[in-house]
Amino acid sequence: MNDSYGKIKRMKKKDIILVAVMLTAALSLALSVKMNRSEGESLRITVDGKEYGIYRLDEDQTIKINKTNTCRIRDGKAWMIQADCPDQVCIHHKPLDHTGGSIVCLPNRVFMTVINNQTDAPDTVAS
Amino acid sequence: MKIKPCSIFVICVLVFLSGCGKKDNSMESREGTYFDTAISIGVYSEDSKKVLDGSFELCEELENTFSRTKKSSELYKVNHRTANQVEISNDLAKVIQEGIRFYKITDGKFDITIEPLLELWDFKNGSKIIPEQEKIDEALLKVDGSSIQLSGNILSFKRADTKIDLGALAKGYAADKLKEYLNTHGVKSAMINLGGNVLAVGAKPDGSPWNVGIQKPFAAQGETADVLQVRDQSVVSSGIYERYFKKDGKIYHHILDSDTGYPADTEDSQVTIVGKSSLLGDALSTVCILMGEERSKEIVSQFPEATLYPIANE
Repeated sequence: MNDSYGKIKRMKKKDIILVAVMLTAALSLALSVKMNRSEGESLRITVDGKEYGIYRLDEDQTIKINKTNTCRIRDGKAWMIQADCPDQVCIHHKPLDHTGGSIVCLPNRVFMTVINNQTDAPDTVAS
Repeated sequence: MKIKPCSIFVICVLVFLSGCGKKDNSMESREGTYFDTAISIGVYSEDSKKVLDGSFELCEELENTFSRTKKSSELYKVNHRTANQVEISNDLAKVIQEGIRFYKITDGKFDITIEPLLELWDFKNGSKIIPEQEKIDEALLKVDGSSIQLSGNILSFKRADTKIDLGALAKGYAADKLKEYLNTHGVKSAMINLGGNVLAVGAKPDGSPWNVGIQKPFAAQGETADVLQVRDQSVVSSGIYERYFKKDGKIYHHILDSDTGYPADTEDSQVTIVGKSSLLGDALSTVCILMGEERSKEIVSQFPEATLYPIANE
């Protein structure tokens, strides 16, 4: 005990800096992982079964989906603001939030799904 | 060597903060468009890519059997036959058999030869056109479930102008087939949703039940009226709030009455059937919209394996 205590005491200045840098890196990494877990719900958009992109729900943005649809994310909610399809079903869908769910524009084969949600919202909806 | 104790300390801290890299087993899901609707299949599997690939191949195959609009489909060929007798696949035979069974149970109300009427109505493109009475009368003459007969895989037609639509059954059958496929490929826990036709496979991996929301009629899509907890059960809803248009204050929905040629006059805006078989659920949910509340209860009670959840019109 005495021996190792003595060693730490005799640590060079560079060693202390190294430890400090590594600890800071580790802490910031851990924090960012934690943050992602608590508010990391994302919106996955696919077109025709192929992934179009993944967007964070906590970042306000407007997403153009090809030339057919436009989606908006604001205040943690995502909804379709424009679609060139005749039925406009997707426009009238309830905005998605962290509790999950999907909005589908069937004519244009556009799917928007909330991923990473960890809440007690239904797993799926029968309609 | 001086640095050794503190290096060990730093490594310990790093490992602790990184959560030891434990891989969490989450559900892999994939969406697509089949059966004229949006589908989604989610699986818990170590081989999820492979089983999802296989599931979607199966959907493709079944769509090529049951689609009434796809020119390459088996049903399209049956509807555009040249002889009055055709040999059909096992899949098609099973679903047509179910259609004939419910034609008898419902005294002809549930009729898979409704295709000529469906061709007249458009519930999808917002055109809001009510077909001319003359055309409806003309189509009604062709709708006649008693004109088809199935013996093994041989389907016989008494009339040349009979055409079949399996929209009220095919998704249920497909869901059952998908479940069978998943089970034989080691998947014990999965969620199949074929355009609102839900089949929960097993329970969640931790043994807890699946939560299946029931769409609230005429509310925003995704808004639920109720949430059912199920294990290894199918939840199928039929309603007049999907594929409909409103004209002069009246709702014209997609479930047509084979006697009038118009959307069925129903007390319930939605019915939900819970049970093991999704094909049975699919058939019964449509039957209930067609038959009215009292007869529906009688019919569903003939099937102890199915339960009816009605939501009344507001």
